[in-house]
Amino acid sequence: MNRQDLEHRLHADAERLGASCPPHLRHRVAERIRHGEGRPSHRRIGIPALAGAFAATAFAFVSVWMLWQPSAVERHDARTVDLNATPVVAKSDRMLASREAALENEWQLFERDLRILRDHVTATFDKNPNS
Amino acid sequence: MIPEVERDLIRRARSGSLDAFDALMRAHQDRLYRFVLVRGASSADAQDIVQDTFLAAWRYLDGYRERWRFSTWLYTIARRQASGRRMDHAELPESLVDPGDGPDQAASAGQRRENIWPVARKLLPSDWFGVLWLYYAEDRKTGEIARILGRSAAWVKVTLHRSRKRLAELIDAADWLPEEVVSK
Repeated sequence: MNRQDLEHRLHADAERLGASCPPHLRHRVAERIRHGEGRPSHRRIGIPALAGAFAATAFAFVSVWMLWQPSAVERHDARTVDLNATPVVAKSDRMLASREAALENEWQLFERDLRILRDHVTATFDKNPNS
Repeated sequence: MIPEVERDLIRRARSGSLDAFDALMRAHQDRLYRFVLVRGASSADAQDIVQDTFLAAWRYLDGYRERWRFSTWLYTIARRQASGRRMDHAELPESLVDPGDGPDQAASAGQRRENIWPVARKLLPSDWFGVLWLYYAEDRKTGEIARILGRSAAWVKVTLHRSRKRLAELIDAADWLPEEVVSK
């Protein structure tokens, strides 16, 4: 039997197979629906939308939580045990630290200039004019 | 059923019209019942499956997408509803087989001319028969069959080819055998 004959026979013979569903079955379904069984859910929000909403809520919660975290402050005790190699400081702390460092630098330069001046004066007056 | 009419009935049923849903049931119940019967369910089980299928369809009507035919969606539900039941009837029910197939017709045709579907049900594995039935008897495309049976489209195509080939070979072999051998 070639393919065309087979396909023709499959189509034709299927038409000759008939089944009629008992009508009471449909009535029984309608009855059960009327009695509240299998009521349509009317769910307009699908599972992907729910998942997206959940993810957005979680993201917002984490963001707020992170914003509310207190900023890290440089701890002196951490410096003593050398655990503060890269301290995380707030902006104002950083400005204060840089200003202190600048003052420190100025003071050291001033001290160095004073030392130089002192040495120069000492060398001038210690010089014997008769030698 | 005309697609526009069916679409309108679905829309009305979604908004709660039981009359519209009843019209949908009336339109699809016989073919759905036949589909479940040929898959190997007993008559009582087939009625239960069809009933549960319609109830599930009513319950989840909002989830139906028009990408597939409504009947394809119903078949998919029916296949799932049937998965927990025994579907091991190797022969098609008597009520289903066309009584017109008789010796007179066979004699007039000059050959053994019984309906090919009961033969296919006996000869082919259940899955293969299901694919063949949906393709030829229900005029489903391979994508729809894959959707209904929960398989890949490639599997459907391969199975369709194999089942056609095996059925043709077995029928040819049976035709060449003497009658007394075939009847054994």
